[in-house]
Amino acid sequence: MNFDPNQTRRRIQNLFFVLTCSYGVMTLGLLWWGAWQGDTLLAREDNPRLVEAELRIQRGRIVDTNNIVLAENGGTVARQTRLYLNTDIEPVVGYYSLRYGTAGVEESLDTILRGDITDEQQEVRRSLLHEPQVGQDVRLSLDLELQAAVVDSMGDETGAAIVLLLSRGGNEQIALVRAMVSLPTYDPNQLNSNFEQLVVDESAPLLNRATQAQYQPGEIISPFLFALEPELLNRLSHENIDLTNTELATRWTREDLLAAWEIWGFNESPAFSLPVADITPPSAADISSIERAISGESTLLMTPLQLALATSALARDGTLPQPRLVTAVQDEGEWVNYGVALTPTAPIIDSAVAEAVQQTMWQATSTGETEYLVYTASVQAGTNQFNHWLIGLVPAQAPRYVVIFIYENNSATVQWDTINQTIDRLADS
Amino acid sequence: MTRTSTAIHSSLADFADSPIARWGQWGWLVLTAVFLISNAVSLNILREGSWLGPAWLNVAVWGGLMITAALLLRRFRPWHDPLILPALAILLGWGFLLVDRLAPNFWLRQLIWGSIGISVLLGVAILPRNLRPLRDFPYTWLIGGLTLLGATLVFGVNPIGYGARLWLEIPFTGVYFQPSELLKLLLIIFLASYFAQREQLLRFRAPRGWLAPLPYLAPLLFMWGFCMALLVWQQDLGAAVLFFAVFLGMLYIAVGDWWYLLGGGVLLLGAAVFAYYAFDLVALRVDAWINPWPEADDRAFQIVQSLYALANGRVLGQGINQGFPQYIPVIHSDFAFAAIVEEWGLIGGITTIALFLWLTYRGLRIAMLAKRPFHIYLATGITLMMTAQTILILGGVTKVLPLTGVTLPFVSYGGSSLLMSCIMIGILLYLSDEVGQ
Repeated sequence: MNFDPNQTRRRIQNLFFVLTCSYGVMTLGLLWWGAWQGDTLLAREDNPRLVEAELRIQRGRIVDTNNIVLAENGGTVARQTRLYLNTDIEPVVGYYSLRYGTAGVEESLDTILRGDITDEQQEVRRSLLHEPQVGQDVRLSLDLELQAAVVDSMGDETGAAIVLLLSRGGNEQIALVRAMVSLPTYDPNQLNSNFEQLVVDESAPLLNRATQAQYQPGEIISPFLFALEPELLNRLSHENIDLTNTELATRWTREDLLAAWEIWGFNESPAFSLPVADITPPSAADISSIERAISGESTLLMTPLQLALATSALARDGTLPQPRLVTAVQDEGEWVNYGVALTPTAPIIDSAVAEAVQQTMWQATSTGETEYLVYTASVQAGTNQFNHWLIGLVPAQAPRYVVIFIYENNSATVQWDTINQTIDRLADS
Repeated sequence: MTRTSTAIHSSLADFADSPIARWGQWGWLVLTAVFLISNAVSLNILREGSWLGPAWLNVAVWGGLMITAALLLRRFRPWHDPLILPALAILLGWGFLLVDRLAPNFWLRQLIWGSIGISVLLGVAILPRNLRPLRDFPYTWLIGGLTLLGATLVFGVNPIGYGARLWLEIPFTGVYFQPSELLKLLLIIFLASYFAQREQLLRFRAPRGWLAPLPYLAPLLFMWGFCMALLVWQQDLGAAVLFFAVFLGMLYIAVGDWWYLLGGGVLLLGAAVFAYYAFDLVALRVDAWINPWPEADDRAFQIVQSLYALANGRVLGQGINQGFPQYIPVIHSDFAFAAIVEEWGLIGGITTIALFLWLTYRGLRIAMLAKRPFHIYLATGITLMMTAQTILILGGVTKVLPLTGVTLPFVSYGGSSLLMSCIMIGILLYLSDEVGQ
């Protein structure tokens, strides 16, 4: 048999056909992973590109009401880092950590701060042009100077404080959070090295006590209960409060007390831009003794934020306001108001009753030329351990500020003088 | 199919020989230069903050090599296939940029090896000679290659300090050479010579139901045994599969009997099963191929990261230096294709495949047009070797096949591989000129 070139050429053609098919299979394999399975693959948690993309996001700044920067980004384009410029604002501002996630304002406004885009065309454009993901700045209602003063006034104590600024003449239903303190606090700049310790720390520094911790109210609840019983209110004074509490206990059933709890908003979580306590509405079975419950020493609990809102209603016309922490978001260089439109709600009590409660139960104190109102109460929280509450309204006439302090498990007498200095500052402002 | 493909082949052949195609060679080189310049500028800006930077050296070296190659080939081999050099040029320039971007420590070496490779390519293609010594002394070449390979058993090292010791150090130079790369070419020469001389003997067909007598099966069994030995001694899975696949392809061209291929396939499968149970490395690669996800952070890390890179490229890619292919271990040699797809997208990946398919077509076209059996088998063997190597690594990266640890010709980092690939292209250019005459 001789060499047959034609036969050999046919075999080479067959071989080329097989090799072309092999390249075709490789191309299909490429398309399978690159196009068909692409999104699924990229979304897997162990894809390091997710981390790389996250590291390049230029998060927006967080500023206080006077545009003082509270948190901003630093580092390089490829390795952005989050810097917190003042630890007095923790845990309100919270933290942003690649390893441990987000908390506080960093969590609740994460989408805005990250600059996430929901428009698909814009997303494609950003991806194609490799535009950096830049978040929007956020302005809070907090006043850093006031916040620092409140922190100073509480010293090394454990507890919480809230200062609300009430609207007058404008939108009556908004209460701006001027200060919100929870102690002890933590340094978010050191979070990655301290997180494991912070989580197991018994003093719970990661917890925002102002919005998430629930306490027995003690007799700090009395003004709110008597506001619903005008007849008893007329006979009430700061000195005979125990006597009047006993009388209230004979008049009210457990259901009456639960109704009062609901009226003042103590059995639901207020709508707020930070995580709040998960509150289960109490039932009659939760109240073992009506007397103790009316004295605020039962399983009926409240957070400082709830108390601050209820106090705001008493301080104004009887309407429960909505707390607001985030006031504006920067959009293309312009500050734009942030917040949902409110639907008007009916007052809980008549404004005359609210005024009567202030005059009857609050103790008038003066600083300089300004008079303000203070009401305090203590609750036993253990052997020789007390929680101390303070409510303040500043100034006494047409209050603009509501101040709430709670000192936790404090065995000594509270040095209210230091707190009064804070209130003095408000009174003078 | 045969008639149609013949017609296609004829028309393509006419086109390739036309003046348009010959001037088109320069057009392709200019287009490639534009591609490389734009990428070099991007790389400089992203790395240095200025359009001026070291990445220009890629363009300069590449430009010098390609202009020289095109002019010399036009002058001394006027009938060479003008459509091989453009494909080689794109792949080589792309490889320079890729090594610069992925493994700057190896980048200058790659430029040096590329320069040596193109110089040797031109020497092989241009210097006047005939191929008779290659054809007449096949056993000498093969024994020489096997001796070098055997030397790695005693003197073998691995430049990175661990892994299979497949390299020999050239004394006093600090340069390492991989004898199995040289063996690829020597084996092709041996097989081409063998088949050219024994083709008629091999065409014996056993009666239906009978095996061919041992002398006829001997080459098949010898090659299988050789590849098994390579696998056992060096655990070089890639080289073993490559050699056997090329042998089977050349055997088919010689004999034209699919049964030999089937028998070879069964032997290959048997060897694979043996290797799976005998060697941890092979077992690891097969397990990672079947289901990499349970060990995505451990033993299957490399292939999983490669798949992420393919997915991240999308259609247009992230752009040079803007993806994250560096998460793939040994990216610059084994997974260069994954880096291409991540940074130049599916378009870049498909372009790469198309370029290799084009080289396959041009190589087999030279084989089809060659007059002498030895030249036919030589061109076929060289084309098969490059194609099989490309398919093996593309299959490994895209998880169509288990990983075999071979390089992507012209693109991956690897001096020995680049040099031998250039020599093979040089031989093809030489053969194409002879065909053209």
